Amino acid sequence: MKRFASVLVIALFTVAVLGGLATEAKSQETVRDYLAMHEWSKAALYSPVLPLMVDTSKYKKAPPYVVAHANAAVSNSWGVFSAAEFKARCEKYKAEGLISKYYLTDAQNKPEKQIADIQDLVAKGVDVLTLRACTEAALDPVVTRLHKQGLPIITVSRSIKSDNYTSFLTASLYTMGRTQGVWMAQYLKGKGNIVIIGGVPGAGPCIDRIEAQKEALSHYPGIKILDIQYGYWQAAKGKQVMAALIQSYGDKIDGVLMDSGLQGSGALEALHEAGIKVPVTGDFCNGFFKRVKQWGYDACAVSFPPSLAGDAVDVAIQIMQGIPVPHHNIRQNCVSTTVDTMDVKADLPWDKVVRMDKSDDFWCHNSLKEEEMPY
Amino acid sequence: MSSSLRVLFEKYGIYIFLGLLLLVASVVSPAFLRLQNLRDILNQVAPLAMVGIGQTFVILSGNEGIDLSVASVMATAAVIVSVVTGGQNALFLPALFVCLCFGLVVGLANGLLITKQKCPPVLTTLSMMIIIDGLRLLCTGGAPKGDFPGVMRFLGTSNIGPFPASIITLAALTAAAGVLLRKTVLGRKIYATGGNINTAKLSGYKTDRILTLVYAISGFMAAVGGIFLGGWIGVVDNWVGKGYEIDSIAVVVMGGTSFEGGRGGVFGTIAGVFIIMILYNLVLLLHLPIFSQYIVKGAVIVFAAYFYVRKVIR
Repeated sequence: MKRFASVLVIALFTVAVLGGLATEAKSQETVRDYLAMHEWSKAALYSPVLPLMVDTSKYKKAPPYVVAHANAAVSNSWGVFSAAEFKARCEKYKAEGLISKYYLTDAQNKPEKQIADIQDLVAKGVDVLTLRACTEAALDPVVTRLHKQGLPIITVSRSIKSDNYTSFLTASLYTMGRTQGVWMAQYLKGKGNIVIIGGVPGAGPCIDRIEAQKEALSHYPGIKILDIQYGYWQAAKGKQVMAALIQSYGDKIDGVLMDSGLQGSGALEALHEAGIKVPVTGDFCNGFFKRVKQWGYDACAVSFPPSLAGDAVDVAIQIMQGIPVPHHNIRQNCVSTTVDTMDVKADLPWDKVVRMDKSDDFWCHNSLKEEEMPY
Repeated sequence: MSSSLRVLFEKYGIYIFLGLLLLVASVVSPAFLRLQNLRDILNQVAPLAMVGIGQTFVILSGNEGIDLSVASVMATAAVIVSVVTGGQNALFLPALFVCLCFGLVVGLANGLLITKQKCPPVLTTLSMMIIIDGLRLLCTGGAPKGDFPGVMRFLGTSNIGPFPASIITLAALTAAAGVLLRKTVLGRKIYATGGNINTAKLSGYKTDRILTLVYAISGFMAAVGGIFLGGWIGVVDNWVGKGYEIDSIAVVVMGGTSFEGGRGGVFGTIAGVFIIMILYNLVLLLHLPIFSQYIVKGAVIVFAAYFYVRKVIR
């Protein structure tokens, strides 16, 4: 009897473990399946105009191709995932015989290094260049010159000042901010006090998202912004700022609007320690997702996908095959919520996105297989 | 000003300033004196003060002493705990041991390069910072795995009686550092080396050993600070302690330790940390834009530098 009981316990345990693993794997499959179905974004779906298509017939060439990605930086986790997406997509095409070689450079956020990187890549004979520019102005001259010399160039998420590129592939920062703002306003039924904790003051993405949040909130006169502070996209600053805001406003805070989960994770730590449960917003940073799930907060997250770097490889192949591509190529901002509102519905439920088995720095909106993930 | 009052002001100026700041803060912001706010401040004071103690030893020892690698050591220590323990309390002690050894080794390497190879401290510790950051990014693939164990979170956020655990640890470390500097032969040797290295050598002090030791202390304290800061934040990240290399130098200068070496001490540094953290907190409580923190920090450092330079000239 005892032996039977032991066997039963072991069997149940094994089933539970395997079931758990399967659920985790399924969660990743769900995100990948979802992304695979969204070659088009909702932004394109609702656009009142047809996209301006670029004739790429002059670039048409027989495979295999040499592709490169000049990355602004891979020293943060988003950049790391972005690089992994690029590598994974290149490996896929390499296996299919469409890519012979690919290069990836890291400019460490220094424009002068990125210019040198690009010149090196051109010297190596790349057929198509994808890049995430350190700054719009500094990279403009070199990209413009190379583009005019006939090199197809795809800018990814951070473009250059002029439109001297073949295609600009990005997701919308305004959509991110607006969605976060509308969700918060509708969750609070149009009435309440909120605080905004942005990322790095003066940084382009942060400015755009906060502007869009404010624009969205302006349609809800019952929502009052008590304070706007910045968490520098760092958990430590996010916690420091949130702790002080709690002391300042205490129970008056009905919601915390944040553009990213990077400072959001820290802010949630402060809220949780103070025993305050209010709705929060962020992006697809796993640390933010984990804390929301663990502590039962209501939240809305909107992604700015690192998979853009992988999508850029798809566009690069299309260009080399002479297939027309949109000049401005907008991709999907995936939305996840714990509670939907009238206008903001989850594309993916929170539980399907969060990875409790992964680190805080993991980015949930990715199209990578488990073995392709950087960590 | 009568001479006795001037002496009092010169000797205890930073503490008088801290007292006044506390008074002003409690008047201008009613939220300042709330127990939770004070605990928040204390939890933020502890990690910076721990790093500041190590930096005080380095700057006190003179000879252009400075340690720019502290923030990298802090971040790496936090990452080591996260990766090694994976969030398990049982593995915290071995991870802690590894972290502290790591801090010591980095400090020793800094010290040996500075004393034996005669490399300038700024360049040596700057290079060390870059190397450590690079190695950490390489080993973690850009972002660390694992989680902080409960014990570490306890150290960073919980209270023992009415006081945060971190501030109790800081009090013990400050007392130990104070005793070491003021009551031991080694302390006297550090002051002597900072005051005039040639005289110290002529007195028979092994100044190379002393200088190497102060960098080792700085590395060790940075590792301790990283563990407490990681415990307070609770989020595993490759850049825990970013900016602490500058902040730790700022609080040492504010605390009255001379950049020339040989003058100052850890108690002034602790007062400097309190001033900077109270000002940071006040900026937020008064709803000023967060960038004001930089202006406030810069202004206080300039004021402190002006105050101490005047004191030296006189």
